Amino acid sequence: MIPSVEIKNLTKQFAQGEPAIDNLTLNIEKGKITGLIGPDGAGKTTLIRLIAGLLTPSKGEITTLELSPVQQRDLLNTKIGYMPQKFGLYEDLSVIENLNLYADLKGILKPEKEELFNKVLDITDLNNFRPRLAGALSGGMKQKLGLACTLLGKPDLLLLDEPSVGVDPISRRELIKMVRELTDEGMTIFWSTAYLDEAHSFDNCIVMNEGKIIYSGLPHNLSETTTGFEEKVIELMGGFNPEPSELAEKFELKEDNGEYVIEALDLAKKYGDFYAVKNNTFHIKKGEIFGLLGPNGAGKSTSFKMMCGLATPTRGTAKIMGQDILKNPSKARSYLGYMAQKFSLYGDMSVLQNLSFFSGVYGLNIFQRKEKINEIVDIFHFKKYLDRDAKELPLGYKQRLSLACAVMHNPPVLFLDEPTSGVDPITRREFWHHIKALSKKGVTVMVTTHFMDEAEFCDRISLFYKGEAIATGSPKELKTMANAKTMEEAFVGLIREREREIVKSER
Amino acid sequence: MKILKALITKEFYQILRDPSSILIAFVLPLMLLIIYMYGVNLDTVRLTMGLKVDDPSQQVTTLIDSFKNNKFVTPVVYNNPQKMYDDLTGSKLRGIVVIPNDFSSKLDRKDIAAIQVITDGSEVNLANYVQNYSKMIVAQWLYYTSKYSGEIPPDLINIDTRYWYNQDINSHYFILPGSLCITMTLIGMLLTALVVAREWERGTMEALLTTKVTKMQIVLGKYIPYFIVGMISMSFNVFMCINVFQIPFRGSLLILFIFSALFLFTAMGQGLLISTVLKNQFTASQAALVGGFLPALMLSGLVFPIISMPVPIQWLSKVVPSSYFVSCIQSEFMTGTVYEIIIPNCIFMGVLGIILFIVVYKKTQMRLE
Repeated sequence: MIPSVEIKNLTKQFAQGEPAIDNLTLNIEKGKITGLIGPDGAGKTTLIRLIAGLLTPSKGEITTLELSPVQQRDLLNTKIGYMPQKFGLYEDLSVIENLNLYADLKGILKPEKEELFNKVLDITDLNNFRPRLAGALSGGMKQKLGLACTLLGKPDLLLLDEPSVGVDPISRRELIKMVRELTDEGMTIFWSTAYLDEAHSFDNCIVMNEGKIIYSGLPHNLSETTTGFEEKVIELMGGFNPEPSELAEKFELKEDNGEYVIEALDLAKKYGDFYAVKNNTFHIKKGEIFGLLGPNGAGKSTSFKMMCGLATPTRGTAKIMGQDILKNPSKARSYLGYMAQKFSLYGDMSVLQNLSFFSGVYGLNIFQRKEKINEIVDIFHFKKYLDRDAKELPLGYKQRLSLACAVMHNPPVLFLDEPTSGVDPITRREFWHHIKALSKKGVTVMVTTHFMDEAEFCDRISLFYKGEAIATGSPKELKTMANAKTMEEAFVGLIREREREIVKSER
Repeated sequence: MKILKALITKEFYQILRDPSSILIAFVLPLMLLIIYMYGVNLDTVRLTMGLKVDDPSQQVTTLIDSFKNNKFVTPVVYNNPQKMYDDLTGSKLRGIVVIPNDFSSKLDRKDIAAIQVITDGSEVNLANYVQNYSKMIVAQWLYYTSKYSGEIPPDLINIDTRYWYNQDINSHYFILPGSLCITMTLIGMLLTALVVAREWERGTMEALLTTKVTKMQIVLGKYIPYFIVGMISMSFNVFMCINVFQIPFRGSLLILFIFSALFLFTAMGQGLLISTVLKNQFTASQAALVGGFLPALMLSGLVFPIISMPVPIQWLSKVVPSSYFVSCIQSEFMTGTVYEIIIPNCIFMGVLGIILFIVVYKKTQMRLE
């Protein structure tokens, strides 16, 4: 085996705290896809940046493609492709302008350019979007464009830092297929991901925790099945031992009325000539977990925003606990706990300050506040982070804090917009443990997710495509509908079917 | 070279597609010019004054007429003193002139006659105007009233004032060119303060750093495009000043462009330094505003003359590049090219610009730490 990257006793120490990378030794095999998994704050991004030479090691050695990332960085830069978490795209430049820029930056000469662009645009299926601004692309398309830009220099080593965060299953499948084809040409790929099913399908897999490698080898050696692999990885990371959810136990459900807690009545939102959401009607019973699934840009977040009164529907309305969101917005909203897709707490305030601020906004009195905050600090283990600014928290803790702030006032209805996006497997389990327990207590939950294993936890699912609900039912019903074994197959199957119908009707 | 060109092209696309940079570079300066042209006036103003006449004699009516006929004064005649005082307090009047009932009888007796002038001291400038206007009107009236004109002692000294470089003492002639300084600071500092921070915030810098780009290319890739935008905006402003607002220009356009370019170079250095160090658009814009823009406005000598500042503040103004620019631009517009002013000021701006460029270069990171 010839390694593309050789790492010996590598340590990376930032100014404060524990080392981010702790005496790590690793070889990355040439011509293979190696997956990198681990909880938030395990040091995955730091490791990738060290390999790319964006950071310098505190101790130890790295050899990337037989070069030193510290001394020979200029040369190394011509041989690697690195895609950072935010894709590194210029949002105010069009697809072709982004490509042109990166081609020039990578020193690609004009005669090769056109041919190369055609090739990467073909692979990424972006040929029809050349003049579109990168900022106007969907998440999946941005990710592909990011990859296309990274591939321009024909790198020998491709470093991908969580490229599939917030990307729907269809786009993810396409991405993996694209990357697969690249390894056939001899490219080495080092891919950090939060999706364990993805990692299971790779050639090699590395599990990291607290700056150390806890497993390195074939994913199939851990388990033959994806589910088994997940269990094993979670076990390796320290395991998740569910105790009864304290969050749910301490939860006091106050209001109770009517059969349907959440109702969407013929909701529609039109931007210009384009319907982001149309004819959306559903009724959610008390204590149900209702999942909204669909590709990026299908209208899930828009529906969410309309239902909690953040966007005005073009037509139709929504009711929460029987209160019309258009006529009685503040009353309806008072029943709501909302967790937005983007981190929307105050980054410059400490965890404690955020908690006390939100307890105040939700109208808890001074005694309740103290009690509630102590309770939450216990449940989510915030103790050691209390004085830390919220923006500096590891992603998992940010999400925990968002959830904590959303449930502080015991709302009977919870809206969670991709609560687990980019979060590690253990934290995801913990989240769903709380969500399920809360729903047992009678809290009604509406949730969006790109994780198909999470979809299985929902009582009912509405599958969105191009602004419309194309299928609604329990996970089982959806699988039967699509004649599929797994939720992911059902998702892909139902959407493909719909696509075919659209194509047919257009003819 | 190709990489630099690609970076510059990219930057121009971003400038063209970002309405806020167009706003800062062209709309805002135009607004400033209009405000300075039509809004700000440091010269004579027309004032409303209250007049209370307790002396019913024939001569006094002509005095009232002199007030009424003066082009700087709109007198309002009151009978009720209380109403008049209330109007002064309510800022309807800028001042009050009271002519007492013994005014003409005293004059006729060749005694010293008194006139009371009350002004609103909360507006110091206007209060001075009220005082001066009243004095002037009364003196003129005295001079032209044949009955008394013989009584005025002849002037022993005749002061003949001429205003060099600005014969009409029109303050627009120096404020408008001076406002170029504000515009250039805005573009040079505010616009550039955002751009490096933006790359860090959006994660594009991380991607750039793994390409062939060199440090010099990153730095020049920021300097050159905004320099061009700044010079275009500057030409636009000069055109507006000279051709639209008809401000006299006595110097050489070439010299004007040379020292403007030097000033822009220093302002951009300040902006890019802020941006490179802070890496956050919000704090960078705040820092540019407080640390760059306000000193440029206050200490440049544009609004407040530097010589009237306390000595330590005068020293401070010596390190503010805009003070050098303002003195250059005012002399270029109003006097013509004065090399004794231009050359030392240009040398200072050039040296400061180079120092800032070096610091920006040194502070530009090629790694994430």
